[in-house]
Amino acid sequence: MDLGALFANQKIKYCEIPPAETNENKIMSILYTNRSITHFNLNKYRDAAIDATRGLYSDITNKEAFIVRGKASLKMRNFESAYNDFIEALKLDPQSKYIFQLSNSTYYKIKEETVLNEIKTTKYSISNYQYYPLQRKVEKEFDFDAFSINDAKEICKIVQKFELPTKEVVYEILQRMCNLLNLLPNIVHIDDVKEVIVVGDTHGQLQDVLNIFKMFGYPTPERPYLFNGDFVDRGSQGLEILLILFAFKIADERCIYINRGNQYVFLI
Amino acid sequence: MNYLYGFYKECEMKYDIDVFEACSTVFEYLPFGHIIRNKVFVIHGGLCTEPNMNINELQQINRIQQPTEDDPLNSILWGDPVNDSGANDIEREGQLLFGPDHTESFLKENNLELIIRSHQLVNEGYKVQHNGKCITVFSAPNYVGKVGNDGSIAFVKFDDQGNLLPVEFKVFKAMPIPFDFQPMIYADLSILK
Repeated sequence: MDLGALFANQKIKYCEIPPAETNENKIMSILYTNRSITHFNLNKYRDAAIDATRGLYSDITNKEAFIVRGKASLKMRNFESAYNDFIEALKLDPQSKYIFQLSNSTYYKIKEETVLNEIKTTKYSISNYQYYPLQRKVEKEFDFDAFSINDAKEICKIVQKFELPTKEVVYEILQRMCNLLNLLPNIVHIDDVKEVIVVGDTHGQLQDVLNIFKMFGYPTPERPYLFNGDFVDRGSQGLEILLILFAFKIADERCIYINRGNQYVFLI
Repeated sequence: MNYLYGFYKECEMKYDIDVFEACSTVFEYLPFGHIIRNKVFVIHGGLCTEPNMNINELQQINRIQQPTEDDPLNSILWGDPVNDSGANDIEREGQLLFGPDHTESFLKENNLELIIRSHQLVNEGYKVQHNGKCITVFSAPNYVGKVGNDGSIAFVKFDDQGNLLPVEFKVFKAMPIPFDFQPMIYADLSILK
């Protein structure tokens, strides 16, 4: 029984007062229940719940009152209260298949809400699903002996489309970086420039690095960038950031400077 | 760190583990400091615990290694500035801290004017401390997709005579995170449990 289908536009039928009924409290209870039903049919669920409660004060064995109050609670998305009321109704009429189905559906609704809340409070994280994006490797070759800033921009374009260069290109870039860095001292002097842009931690956030280049231009020898470490980890496109920074470096040493951060292997 | 926070798995998934090894080697070869026009000293973390460590001494150490405990490289990569002085009480609870007097003496000894570093999250993107002598620049806005901080970059400019002009900052908000590349998808924090 799907609660949604049940409640699309359902109006509740009124209860009849049995002609033989003489107990004033019971009659009062039925009257309150009917008024509660009126409120429900007019979509006034809080008033429906209040009147149903009055009905229950008059006669605690009035299962219809429990049912109406439960349905009103459902409408107000108070699934726990609804469930309790349906259980009480079920106790009063254990054979009722209808009440059983109501309480069952509510039970599953509560379970569903619990799971949704857990997901919202991030008890589940994306990493639990073991989903890793597949990225196409672009079969573009570069002449590394004549690697220019335009080639570096090509690498930017590749990663911008969420693709990757081939492994051969990556190894070539890394090898040339090693050769280049081997000649550098621990502390490098940057002279002969009037302006340097210093960029802090980027942590794999490629979209923000590309945004910086978009806002302030690609690296040039006249206005070089200095990336101050921590390019990888946490964000998920650290490797792409490395590739574009290294590409600019091997294209023209003076257009970008790269500082070591603490993004190295560190066994805790 | 790289195992925990994702770079290892990222390399493994995008290429293979050899790429990770190669990148780690390149990281060790990276210089750990830059000096702009003999005035601005840029490092990732902070200053060394030994007071008055000078540039020439730093040039002598072997950087192609993982730093051990007493290494000055440790403070350079992990140090944090604090606002209270106390050059002798630098190491507190395993943290590597340096105060304004430390900054002052280091800059004076080495004829420099300014330190720029990163390493710490700053909500406004940048932070100026130690009487304007120590700047923190952080360029990862909305860090790990949760913090909601701004990012910033610093423009270090000089006039025609080579004098350092006041540093300008540009602050920017985060770009939308690509759906397939949420932060930390390659991280494996299970080791912490």
